[in-house]
Amino acid sequence: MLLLNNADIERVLTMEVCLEALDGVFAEMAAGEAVGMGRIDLYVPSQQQQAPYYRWAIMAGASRKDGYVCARMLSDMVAWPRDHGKVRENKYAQQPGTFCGLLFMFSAVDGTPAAMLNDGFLQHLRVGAGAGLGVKHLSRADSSTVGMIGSGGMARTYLDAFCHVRPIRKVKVYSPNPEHVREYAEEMRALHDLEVVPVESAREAVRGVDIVSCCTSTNEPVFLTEWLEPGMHVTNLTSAETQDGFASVVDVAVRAGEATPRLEDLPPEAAYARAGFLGYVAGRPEERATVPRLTLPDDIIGMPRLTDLITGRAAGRTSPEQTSFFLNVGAIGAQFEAVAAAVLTRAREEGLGYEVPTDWFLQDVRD
Amino acid sequence: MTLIIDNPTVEKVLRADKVVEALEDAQRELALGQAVNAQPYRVLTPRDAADYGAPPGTSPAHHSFTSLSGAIAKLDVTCDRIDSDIIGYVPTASGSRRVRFPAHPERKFCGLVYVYSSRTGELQAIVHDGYLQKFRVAGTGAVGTKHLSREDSKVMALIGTGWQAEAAVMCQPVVRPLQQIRVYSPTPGKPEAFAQRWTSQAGVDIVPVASAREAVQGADIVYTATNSPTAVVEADWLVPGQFVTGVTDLEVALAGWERCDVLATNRHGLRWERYAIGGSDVIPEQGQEYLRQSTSVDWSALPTLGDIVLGNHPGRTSAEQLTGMLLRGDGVQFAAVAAYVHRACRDAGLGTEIPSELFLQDEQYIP
Repeated sequence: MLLLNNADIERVLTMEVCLEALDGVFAEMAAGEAVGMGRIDLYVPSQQQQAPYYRWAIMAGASRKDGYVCARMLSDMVAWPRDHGKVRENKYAQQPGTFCGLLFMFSAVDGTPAAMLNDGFLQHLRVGAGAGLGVKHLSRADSSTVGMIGSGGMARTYLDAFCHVRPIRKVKVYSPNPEHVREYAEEMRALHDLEVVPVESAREAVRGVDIVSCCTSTNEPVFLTEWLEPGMHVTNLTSAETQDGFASVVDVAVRAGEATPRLEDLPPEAAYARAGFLGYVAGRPEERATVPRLTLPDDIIGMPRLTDLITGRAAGRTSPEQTSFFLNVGAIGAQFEAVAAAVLTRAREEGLGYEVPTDWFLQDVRD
Repeated sequence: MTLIIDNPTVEKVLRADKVVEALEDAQRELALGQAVNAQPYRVLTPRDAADYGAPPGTSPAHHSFTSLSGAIAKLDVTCDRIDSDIIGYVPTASGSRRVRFPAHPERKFCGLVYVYSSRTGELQAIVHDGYLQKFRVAGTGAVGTKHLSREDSKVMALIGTGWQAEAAVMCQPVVRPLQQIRVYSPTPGKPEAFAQRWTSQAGVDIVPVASAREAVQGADIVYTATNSPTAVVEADWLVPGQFVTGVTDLEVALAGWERCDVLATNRHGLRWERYAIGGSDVIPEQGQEYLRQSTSVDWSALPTLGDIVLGNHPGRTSAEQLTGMLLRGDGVQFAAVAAYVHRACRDAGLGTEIPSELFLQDEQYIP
């Protein structure tokens, strides 16, 4: 069994590889050749002051072509402090500053464990590539300008993905911290050979652009529906970044896929908890009440999925005047499988990673 | 340190009385809301049965990835039991039987329990599931016996001589002063061999009998431990005063369960979700439909074992009642036994240590 850390993965996983893997797995899902299970969370009181809850999460996916099943497990100590009236989330594993997110790959051919990967770098690129795929499927083919709200790591990765799928030449960028914006502009200019213009407001960033990209960590809308212009494509990082009802206003709204199991009857200990993921919550009633909840509105849950677009069950953009929206959330289990499989193949070719005996994880008894 | 714990090591530290105690406590915590199960699920990839040496007519065949997770707050443990197996449905006279095929050249299997600390978020151990699985079933069965059988129960009927039967004869004597176990299996010679092999280890006289009916007649406890897809205990064999339970619901005729004056279950509300490439309609849901054929029992309203342990439900109230328990697997049971095994191995310096750092990542990679 091969162990791959973020540094190993960084050596073989490029945006191009990631886009190709996601493109492939969405086509497979559309053809019924790949499946995924959305995210499920388990919340347990931790008795720790700085992180009163422990949250464990799992999501999984499989592809017949790859011959793997991939399970991603997240393990976080979490706290939800209030900051200027807004709820933030702090998380860590072992100690503040370290995190535990693992991908476990199993062979669907002989059942044996194939690899274990740290998820951080891969997740970063996967999210960006997902937004890129939305742009590829929904934006006007001649889209060349981007309005970027946010100037952090994801804003960098999103732009990288856009540049792979559209002839981008100009970016207007806004975030509340002018220093971050300046750094972003300099870096992106050099990296992609683009015109990058820092602007004073989100309003200004999105005016007249072909692609609007929201890459913030806020829980509040950063793009107002009234700013939408004909022909525009909008994408995001979280569903909170656009206003309620936005999906119903745009001409073509598509989401990546289902993000979490939708159960008909929720047992009493379950709820759609933080970020709308199905969560099973232990604890006394007063403890359970501290876990954030989010019930996604029906217009989001009812949005067609990218696979519907691929199979033709849902219509995509049919004219340059239409507006479009890609909610870059969902189908996460299958996406991880595809990207991890691409990484594993390349890492093996290059002899990267650390081999541990597969026998450690195999047994000769079976009930 | 993260510990890799294999079956022989589990066997070394596991004691039946401790397992039963841990599982009884787990039922209590579950009823109190201080333990919680997440939705169990399978991810299935179609396979060609012929590639695995399956008998002709085996259909369908899949690689099956299963996840069963749960947490117990006071033990600081959250765990996921993962199986990665090739499963096929082999034709039988009455339909089909679910069979696990060895796919690994050395006939090894992959079943692992991932043990996380809900106090630090670290992955503490990866444990082979074979021995744990056997004892979490039998241990929970014994908790049922402790709370639902007559206190003066002396004779147990055991149908089956396999892996699960072995654990049953170790766990049941922990809770009742058994004087005799009558064992039956349809395979000639097996009951005799089983009796010879296990009598001294169980500390109870194990007597082979010629039929299931003979085993059940006059027994105080009826325990089924077969992989039979059809009933091995008929309803009219059961008499007042007995307690009946077993590895699957299918092993007891539906009318037998219906006849119970007090019928409990160790848990409600979890139905396996299935995500299958090629669709899940082709896969038999053995057991899922069984209880639904009866409408005379409100299966969703059965008291839980945890409620009986806590005293919220009286359980058995007279020596004349026929009592029963539907025994279901869940993540909390694995959490209870895995926490105990991990602690015992850590204290005794057993298991293979690998650095926890392999499973952690730092901030630079977290988007």
